[in-house]
Amino acid sequence: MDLFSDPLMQRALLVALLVGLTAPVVGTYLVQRRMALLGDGIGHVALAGVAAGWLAGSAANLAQRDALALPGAVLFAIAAAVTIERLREKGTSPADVAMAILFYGGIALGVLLIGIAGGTSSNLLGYLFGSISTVTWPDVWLSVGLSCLILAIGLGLRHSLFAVTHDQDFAVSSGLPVRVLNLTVAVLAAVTITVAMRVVGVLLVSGLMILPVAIAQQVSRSFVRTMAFSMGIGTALCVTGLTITYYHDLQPGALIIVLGVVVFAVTSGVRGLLTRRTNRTSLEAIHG
Amino acid sequence: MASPTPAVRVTDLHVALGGHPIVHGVSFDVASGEVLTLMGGNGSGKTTAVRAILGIIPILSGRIEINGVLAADAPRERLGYVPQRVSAAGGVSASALEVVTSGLLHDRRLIPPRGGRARAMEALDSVGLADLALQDVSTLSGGQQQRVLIARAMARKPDLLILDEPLAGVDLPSQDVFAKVLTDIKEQGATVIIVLHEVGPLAKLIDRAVVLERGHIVHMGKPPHAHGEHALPGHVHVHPHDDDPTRATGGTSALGLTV
Repeated sequence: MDLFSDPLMQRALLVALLVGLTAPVVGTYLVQRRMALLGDGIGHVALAGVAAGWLAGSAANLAQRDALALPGAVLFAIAAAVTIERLREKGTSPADVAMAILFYGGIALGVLLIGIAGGTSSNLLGYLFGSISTVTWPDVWLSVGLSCLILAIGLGLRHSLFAVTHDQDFAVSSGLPVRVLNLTVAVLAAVTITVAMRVVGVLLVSGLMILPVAIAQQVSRSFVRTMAFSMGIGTALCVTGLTITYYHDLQPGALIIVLGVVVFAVTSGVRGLLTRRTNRTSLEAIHG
Repeated sequence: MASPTPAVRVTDLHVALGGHPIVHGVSFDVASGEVLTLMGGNGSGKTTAVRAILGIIPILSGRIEINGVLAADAPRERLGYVPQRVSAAGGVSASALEVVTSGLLHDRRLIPPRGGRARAMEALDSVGLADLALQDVSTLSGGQQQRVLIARAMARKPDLLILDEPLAGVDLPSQDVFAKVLTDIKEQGATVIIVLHEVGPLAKLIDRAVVLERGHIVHMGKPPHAHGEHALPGHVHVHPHDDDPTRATGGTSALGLTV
């Protein structure tokens, strides 16, 4: 089959599969903490990291000037995640203000640095909206390594990360290392964003973390099931979206997110209908 | 003869929230196996004092010891805490079993111990919610949610249990369950600190009351029988390990009360 024999699609499908699995794991913790937009703030700073990596690649006269873009994005995203977490913890700035500063500061710095590196802001477009067709094998292996790290920590520490994100006061009273666990969630979000960046781009990356969780929430009654369902949904969305774009000339990142929105709309509509019917049946039973 | 180490010792505690002083030089001991209630009206500082004891909010000055160890360094393996409600309700569904299982984590224990599920189920059973273990807690009634939080604290088999207004807005069946749990834990010799507006149905279980008013202790001794019945002359009990009663009552004399 052409789809699987094409090396470009092999790389793209592998990365899409990894992103579909990992993004909802972190997304579940972010939704639990009511910080669904954290990914957006970090993503914008990751863009500055891409540009910084580009600048470093140019300065080092590398054959591929964007060879250091992904490592640069990882470093900047982690720094942003730690900064946001510290600001939130200290309460010196409201969370939305801190996020806004990172949003705009990140984009502005990215555009400035790419200019200094001799490029133009169009070089950043692939990172803004995703460019899965440009994924190289080194990118794939880096993504595999980072994804394994996200899954090992995100799933292995699910009990304590749940405890902290569900009821932080109780976690503090229990003597759990709350600060370290909160930082872990933030850093996991940063790493996830840099992995997902190539698939959907920094502007849509939050959607890939949050939409599968929002869909899973329609049918799940527990935290672990929500996480498991959302991993399945995320994978299905990424692979389906990418497969469709193989046959039709559509932008993969945008299609994946639109597919997610459609699935969410359908599931929440069906759930609403079922709830109304259940309520009506209950009322009829009460009033005879 | 040296007195035994109290389960909790609070010495000259000062706490501020948002720059506003809330607790002013409060001192009291809770003996091992004692059931002590912290009482007072809204804004009296009782919840703030309890949250400071638990390390949830920082203290301005003073000293808090749990079993003779500075509270910040004290192990939490056998310390149970029941907040008024889940203080940071999450955005994702969570089953009662998951919430109770999180009570088995403490200090450096980041994953539940072997047999954790059985212990969590046992705790849920003790509050009459075993059949709702897999139910999303947000779909339970207020009283049932409170029982889940009690089960979370009980899963740890605490020898020190701290409860913040556990009866506030709770239905009668849940109040009955709670009274039974408290009776059982008292019989097992655990120490209990319980924040209450009024002692109500729990009166016979309570050994001693500390009544706060605007961050000062105004009564320490036998529990007042009715809301508002504070400083009963002759019942005001000074710090049991302090020879200086004016220091021990943390401002009682300033309010013109008999010590």
